[in-house]
Amino acid sequence: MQSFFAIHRLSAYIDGELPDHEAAEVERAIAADPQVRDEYERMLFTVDLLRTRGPVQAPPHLHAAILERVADEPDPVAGFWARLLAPFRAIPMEAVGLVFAVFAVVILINQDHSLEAPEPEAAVSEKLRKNLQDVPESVAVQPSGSKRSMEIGQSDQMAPPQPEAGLPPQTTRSTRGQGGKQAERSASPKGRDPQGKTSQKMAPPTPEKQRSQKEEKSSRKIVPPDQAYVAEWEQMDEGVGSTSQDALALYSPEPVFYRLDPKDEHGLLQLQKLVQGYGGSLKTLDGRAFTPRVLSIEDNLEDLRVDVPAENVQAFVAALGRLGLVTPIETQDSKMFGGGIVQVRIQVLYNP
Amino acid sequence: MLAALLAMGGRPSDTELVQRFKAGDRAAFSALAHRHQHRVYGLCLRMLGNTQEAEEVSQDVFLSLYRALPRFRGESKLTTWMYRVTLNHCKNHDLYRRRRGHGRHEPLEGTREDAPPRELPHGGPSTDAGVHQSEAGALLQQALDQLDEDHRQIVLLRDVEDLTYDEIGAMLDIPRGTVKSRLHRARAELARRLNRQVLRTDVL
Repeated sequence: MQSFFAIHRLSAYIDGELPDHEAAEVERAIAADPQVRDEYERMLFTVDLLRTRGPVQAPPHLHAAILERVADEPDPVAGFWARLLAPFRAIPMEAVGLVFAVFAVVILINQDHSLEAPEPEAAVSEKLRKNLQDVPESVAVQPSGSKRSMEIGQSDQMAPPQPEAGLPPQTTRSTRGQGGKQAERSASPKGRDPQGKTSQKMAPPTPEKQRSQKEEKSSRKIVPPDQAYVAEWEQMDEGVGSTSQDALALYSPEPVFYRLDPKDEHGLLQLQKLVQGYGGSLKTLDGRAFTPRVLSIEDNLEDLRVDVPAENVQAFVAALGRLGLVTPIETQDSKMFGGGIVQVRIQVLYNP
Repeated sequence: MLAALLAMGGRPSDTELVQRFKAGDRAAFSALAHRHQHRVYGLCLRMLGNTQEAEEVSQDVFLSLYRALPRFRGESKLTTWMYRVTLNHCKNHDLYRRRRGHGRHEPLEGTREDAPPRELPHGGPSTDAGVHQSEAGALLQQALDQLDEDHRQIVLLRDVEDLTYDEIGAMLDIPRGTVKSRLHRARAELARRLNRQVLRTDVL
């Protein structure tokens, strides 16, 4: 056996993990080559030193401290409701009683209002008539059934609300549901009525108005799903330093290694969404498709491979860096990539 | 229930204690913590190199175990799982320290990496009389501190915790061959660093 191979088997030789014939060859190399012998003696000395250090005794108060920490915890074996209510057990009953008393008084006061004598019908009618005098005719004549559509800004008869001079138009940012879209359309500074004609009542847009229109337009920009996930992860980030520079520096034909520290059991699922956003796929190290799962307490380190199209890898690596949840790590186990696909290998560290 | 078992003279196994804990016997957790505290603390201390941090992290480990024990399926040994959780906590703590700019401990004076190395005479360091065990231990810890995290943990699991290659492989989710090669690299690196430090401080 050559010295090189003997040196690389010394550790297994010390542990008795070599087959007999290999062990015999290592012994011959130790006897024949001073370099192998030196290496062997140094390693044996180190291992002996480690093994003879003896067990470490925990501080005497550690057990009590553990039980103290655990005592504040809800019973993990208890049912859902018991665990939910556990934090409230420490609240004194007097405080609970006081809260209930205050609550009861508030309810009673509200009930007193409702018990007040109703206004005479004539007075109500008079008040209503007075109010209607201030409302434009087109609105006043709306039947009661159109109340909802008026609230959300949709009325065939209504002109768009006129912003006061010097003030930006009131816009609704909601984009959810038809009502929100209608509200935006109605409040739009273009002042179009449902027939598509520009309202004659609209004043020409002031510079402030134009600026606010521009801002509104930019705020409505559609965020691609991958960026949305990055943003979501960034929100989850607890002030962790960005590694984007390191990540970009590591962009190379060699696979890039990261350690991912999921914040919760859905970390892998989030990673998959991010990977898919960049046209990549999540795989095991041997190239099989990896189906992400909800992490459990017994999961630990899992080496994953992300194959990302070469044209997307820089953006993907930058996105990983921006997440702040991944850390480039050094490793000697590197493999080459091929076929225009770049491997990003991710070691998942899950700590519930 | 636990007291009754102890009174009968039997020492409940980890599996029995876990079952009792799942059945609502909180004293079983106390027994588990008492039994494994030295092991967890020892691993934390050697991974982190600081007694105060080791104590804090040990408490965190047992808190995690307490929360997760009802979900422990028993597919692996309790100790294996416990080591896993401990290593995860140590890694997280180390990461936390680095993110906040607190590295591992500064090397002792005269043992810095950038100091000029001296060559060992052939035959390696001797282990004869005059060795100050505590100082050697300190130097060893220092050399361990300078190791890459993966290397440090595999050396500790094998040479201090005395786990087999298969147990280490199962714990770290790596094949047996990787355990062997990584362990070799870790020991070689540790021996190299230790060799330098021992020569500089003339402890041995």
